Amino acid sequence: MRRNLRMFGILAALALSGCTFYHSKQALSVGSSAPPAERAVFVTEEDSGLMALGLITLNEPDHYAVLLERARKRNHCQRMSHAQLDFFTDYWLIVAFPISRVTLLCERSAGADGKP
Amino acid sequence: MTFPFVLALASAAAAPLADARAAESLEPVTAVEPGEPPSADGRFEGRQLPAALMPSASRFWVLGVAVEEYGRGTNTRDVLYGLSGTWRVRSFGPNALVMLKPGGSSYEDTRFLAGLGLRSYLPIFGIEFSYGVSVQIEARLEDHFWLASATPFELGAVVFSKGSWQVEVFAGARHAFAGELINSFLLDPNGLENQEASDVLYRTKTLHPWGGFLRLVFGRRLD
Repeated sequence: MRRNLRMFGILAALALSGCTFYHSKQALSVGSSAPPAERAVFVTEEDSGLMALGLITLNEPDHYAVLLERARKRNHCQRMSHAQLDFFTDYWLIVAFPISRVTLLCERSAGADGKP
Repeated sequence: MTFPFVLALASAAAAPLADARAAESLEPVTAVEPGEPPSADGRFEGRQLPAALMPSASRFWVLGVAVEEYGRGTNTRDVLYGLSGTWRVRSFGPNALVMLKPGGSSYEDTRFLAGLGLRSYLPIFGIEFSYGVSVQIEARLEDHFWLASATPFELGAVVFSKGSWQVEVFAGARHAFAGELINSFLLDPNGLENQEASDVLYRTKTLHPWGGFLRLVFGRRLD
């Protein structure tokens, strides 16, 4: 009985510690967004923070404005639209990573098409 | 009765000072250049942040979980688990490692390892390769001794990098240069200075000082 309880405890701890818990998903632009141009592509930019034991926050992910600017630079976006901000936490045993992720439609400048 | 009165007086006296400090703290510390105005149709156009507010792209942390297979001479192989942290400053990466060998019924049957090192990263054909050196100290409680070793070469590569994910693989060799028996009743009440532990230490430190390792680090990038 005691052994079964111990095994159950270990399995439960492993299952809970290896999970990604959903936090939030929200649009950063609303309403009258015009349809993007034909050349638009989805791009993603994210940053991670750090928590000890999933409880103590040691570092938070970057502000979404930083992620937008980073996505614009990295993907040579002339115009960005339909940005969506996701926030979730990855639990890895004794450390956890709160993740902030921006997914958006990027309209590259004509000369930058095909670049990463 | 008098204490609240004194407190109120002190608050009133301190209020102008607090207001001045608050006004001072509201002063802009960085000149923000005006960017493109927000588009009326919900699009983001042009620069989103002034350069002064962007965090440096050349300095970041990579923290994660490490799994290491370690073998030395004819001894059995060990698998260690732990945490790895690297502070990337441009092409350099000071790093730290804390690992343990799980298993056994208590702490006397385990091994603990801590290490500090320095790596240099070089991108080749889009893949970041690294060369590093480090020192480690191990508390081999299961063998009743501690061991210090140096890693003169460690080769690594970032094999997966997407979003904040960063998976790295490292291979290298360690050379033991110091070690002594841990004579403690907590580890072995009946075996102080025991011959078997001395023999294992002699074999590990003197006969087979070199050991190879292969380490996989599942990390997250913290900008």
